[in-house]
Amino acid sequence: MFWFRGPLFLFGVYVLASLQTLFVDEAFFLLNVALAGGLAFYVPVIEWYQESDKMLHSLPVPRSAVVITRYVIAVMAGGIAGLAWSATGRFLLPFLDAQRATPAMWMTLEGVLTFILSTGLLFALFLPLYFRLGMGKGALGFLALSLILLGTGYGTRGLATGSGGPGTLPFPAPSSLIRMRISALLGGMGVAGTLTTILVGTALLLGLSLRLSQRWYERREF
Amino acid sequence: MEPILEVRGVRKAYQGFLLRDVSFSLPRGYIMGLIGPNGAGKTTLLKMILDLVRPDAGEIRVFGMDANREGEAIRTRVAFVHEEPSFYGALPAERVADILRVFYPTWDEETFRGLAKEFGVPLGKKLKTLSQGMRTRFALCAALAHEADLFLLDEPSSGLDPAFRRDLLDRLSGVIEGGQTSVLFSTHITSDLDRVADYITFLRDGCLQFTLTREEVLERYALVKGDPGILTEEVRALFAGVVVGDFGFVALTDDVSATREALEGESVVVDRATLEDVVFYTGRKGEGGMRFRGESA
Repeated sequence: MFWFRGPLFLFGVYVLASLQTLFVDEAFFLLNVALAGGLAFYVPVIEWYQESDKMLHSLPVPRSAVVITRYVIAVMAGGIAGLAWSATGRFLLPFLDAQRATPAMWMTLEGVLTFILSTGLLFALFLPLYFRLGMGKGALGFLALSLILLGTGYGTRGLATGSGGPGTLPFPAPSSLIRMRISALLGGMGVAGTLTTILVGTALLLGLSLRLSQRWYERREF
Repeated sequence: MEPILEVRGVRKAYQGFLLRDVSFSLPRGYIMGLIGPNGAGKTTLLKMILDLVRPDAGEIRVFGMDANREGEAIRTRVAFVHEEPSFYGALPAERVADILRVFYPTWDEETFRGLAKEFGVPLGKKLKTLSQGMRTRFALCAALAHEADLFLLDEPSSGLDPAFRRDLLDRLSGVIEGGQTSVLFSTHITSDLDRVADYITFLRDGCLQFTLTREEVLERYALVKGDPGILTEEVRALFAGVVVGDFGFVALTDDVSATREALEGESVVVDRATLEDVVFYTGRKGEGGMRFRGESA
């Protein structure tokens, strides 16, 4: 029952939240990035809550395997959330079509690449902090780091950028900063170049993050 | 024969705590009790053996392997029971056992189920609904089911009732019968060690006080009781600890013959010391916080 109830609850929350956000591109996008995070960190959060870290590390499992597994799960969670994003959007397409003239974010290449880069960034930044500091302090560290990065991002673009207008949030969403950069890339490098840059860039980012996580986790004490 | 566990010059510093230069070894086929007051460093030491904590200096070898470099191989053959076993509490005990089984090639399901039945562990119940004592019993079932060569038990008996504790001690004695398995367990309940321990290692304030056979401890230490009036600086220097009361003093000596010789003619009683006496009296400063042998001003 345990295995069933948690995901079922998450699914219910997701459907309700989708219905509330699907008309606002950035909000619907952020909901699905949050879904990726929820799926990726579901088990680590339970482990943290139940303080089962000690038990896990008393088992004959190499620490590097724990790290790699978390990354694989995170990438899979990102894929599932991406599919959920587009599938929910497609399912709700008639509603969307009735409301808007421009294609939804999930239907555009820049939208999909923004999703890949955003979830990649989420995992690449959060996981090393989680492996170094644990879930509680790691989440606080991630929050602080995110605020610094957002501050830097907003500082360079201006707070008004991307705000207002139909289909947008009343404030510039973090993803809008990435989306703008990707639009600029698409204009400059074309589809193939941008696709390669974003995919290779995200893979490199995750690869570096994985190495850092392994290094830090090896030093972690329980 | 190579000891199953060898701790050499291990040191670990935390803020406000220093475990320093701890060295001892545990031969195959014996039970060692790790004793000491709270904060002595017992759990830190056990965690270092499992590579959950890394020593700042020194070396720990288990089965001849470096605990730091070959932790995975070591943990396959080690059973560890934490002071407060923390499992996935929302899962039934048998599901947790399913998870654990995967990691141990030597896991014996029949043994596990038999022990669970014998220990009264309700396998169908969620672990979080079980009492701490019952969770410890579950952890012990799991530890005994994978036929480990070394058992590391951190205060395993603290949450257990006296009857089960006795059963557990008997079982630990049974575990080492083959001569290949050893047990290292920390405990506050020194009477448990009186029953089963072959070796005693005593830690206090991060310092190793001694590592001896139980017989050596009982031979070496004695309680001295007498009138406080005889407690001169020279007499105090004979003691490892003393408590002075209104009607007399009780002191612990670790050199019985020297103490007898020095106090010849004085009205004192020399008694056998128990392990609990050793833990209790060691380092006690007595009335007025007077200093003892080995302590600087």
